[in-house]
Amino acid sequence: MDSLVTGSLMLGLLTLGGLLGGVSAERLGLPRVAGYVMAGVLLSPSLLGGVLGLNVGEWTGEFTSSALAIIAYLIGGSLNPAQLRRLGRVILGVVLGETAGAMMAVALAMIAMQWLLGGEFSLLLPFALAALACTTEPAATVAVVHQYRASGPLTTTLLGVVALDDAVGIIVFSIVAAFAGGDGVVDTFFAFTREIFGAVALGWLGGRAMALSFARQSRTELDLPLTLGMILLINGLAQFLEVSALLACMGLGFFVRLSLPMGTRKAFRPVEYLEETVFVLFFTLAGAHFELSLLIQFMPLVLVYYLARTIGKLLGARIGAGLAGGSVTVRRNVGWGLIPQAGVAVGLSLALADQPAFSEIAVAVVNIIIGSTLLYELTGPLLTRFALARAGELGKKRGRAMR
Amino acid sequence: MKVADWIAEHPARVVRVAPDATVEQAADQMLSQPCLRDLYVVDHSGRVVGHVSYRKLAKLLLARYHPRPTRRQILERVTGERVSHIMDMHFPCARTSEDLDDVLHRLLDHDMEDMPVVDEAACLIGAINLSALLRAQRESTSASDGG
Repeated sequence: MDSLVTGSLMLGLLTLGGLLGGVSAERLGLPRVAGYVMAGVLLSPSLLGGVLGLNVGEWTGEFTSSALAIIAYLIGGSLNPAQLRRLGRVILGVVLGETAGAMMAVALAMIAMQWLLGGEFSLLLPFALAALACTTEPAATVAVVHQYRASGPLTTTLLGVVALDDAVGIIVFSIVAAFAGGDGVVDTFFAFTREIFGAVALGWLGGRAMALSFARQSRTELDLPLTLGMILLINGLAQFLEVSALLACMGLGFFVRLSLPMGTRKAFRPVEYLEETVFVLFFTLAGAHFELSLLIQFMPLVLVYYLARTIGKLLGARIGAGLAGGSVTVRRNVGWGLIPQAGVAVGLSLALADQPAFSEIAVAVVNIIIGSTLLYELTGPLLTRFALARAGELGKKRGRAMR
Repeated sequence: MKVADWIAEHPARVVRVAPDATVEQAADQMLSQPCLRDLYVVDHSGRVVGHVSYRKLAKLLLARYHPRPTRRQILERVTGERVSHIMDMHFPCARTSEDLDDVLHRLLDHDMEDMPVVDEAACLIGAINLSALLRAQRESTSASDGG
């Protein structure tokens, strides 16, 4: 099979296989994510993938890079400065607190594990997992809010935080990756400056170009090719210029929204429909990298990561809400709604494999994130419901939409 | 036919609201004119500064029933209190001196059912109603079929 056919077959099998796996899992009362991962496991080289001659590893980098570019663009375009101001101190305080709390808790816990287990000491794994710990899966929290028709100050705070902290997570991940790419203090400083500021500049240029293009064409059937083409172009240019591709694509989304207020519909709606497809691909791809022997080997790290991140989120959110003047109800409960973690974290863990500095630990990170994600999928919604119930913001469970 | 001639022959009601009105107040205004689907945000001097569709208002006020909102929709729900926070600032409109045939494609290309008609100072003076256009087209077709 030549490489073009293999890539096309791979994409089809991953997408449809993941879809089938997710639907089957839902029918069995399991999280959809578990189904996506299982489909990926079946397509891994040790099982069906080996029989079909599919080399998943060969295509992971390209798929992941393009898929993450789309997600980063949507995250960047989801907010504008005026909205950030209206979010208020409490939501921003919680975001900063919970991301910092999760990062510190995971980094310290992983360093402690290294010390306990002995062996060669390295900050790569602690820093990589700390960067990934920031993100929260909005879908799980929103699903509980929707299911119970929840409303109130805690609900509003939770929605604002989960919509925002993926943006913080991507920024943190890009910074950690930029620092890890350097060699020595001076080289690291220059690498960091080039990667971060270069990415922002590229995103700004792309955003302006895209806004001008939208202003000149009003045909809705051209919105998707224009948007998708720009995302992939900026992603590719960023890689060519060796700047942070994630930040560049996030900047593209942010600056196009800033430059073209009407772009919220034209520049984002066509691509938003792709987000679920992207997540199907992420999880199925991650599943294809899943190795049971590695998961068993890393199970202590999975559990430590899960517990450390949870504790970090709870404490960090509480402190952040407190410092920002949040009510007692919000301070006590907001952290419990921020536990779920899934799509973006899995995508970022796959992206680590493409970073030379992280190539040695990439497989370990992917397996730790998958293992912890399955735990989060099972426990996250329960903890969110617990928080909303404790705050007295649960409505009636969804049955009929209206009386 | 000029736009000015059309709106003289087919006067249409329009729903206006101030930029600092709440989303709930805007919805009440819209519901008071149940046949209309477009709301125009008008400043103190009468200039049209934004457009809000009925569907957008409904999506925002009924957001709790949406099972899978995007991040953008979540943030709009959390921060969209005033009409000025959610309005589209760029939308098609027609001037009285334009030919009707030249402006119709703008209405059909966008998520609007009425096209606002503005004067040289961008003040709202009327609207081209999609259902009136359709009615006129059907009457014209029936007349030519019957004739």
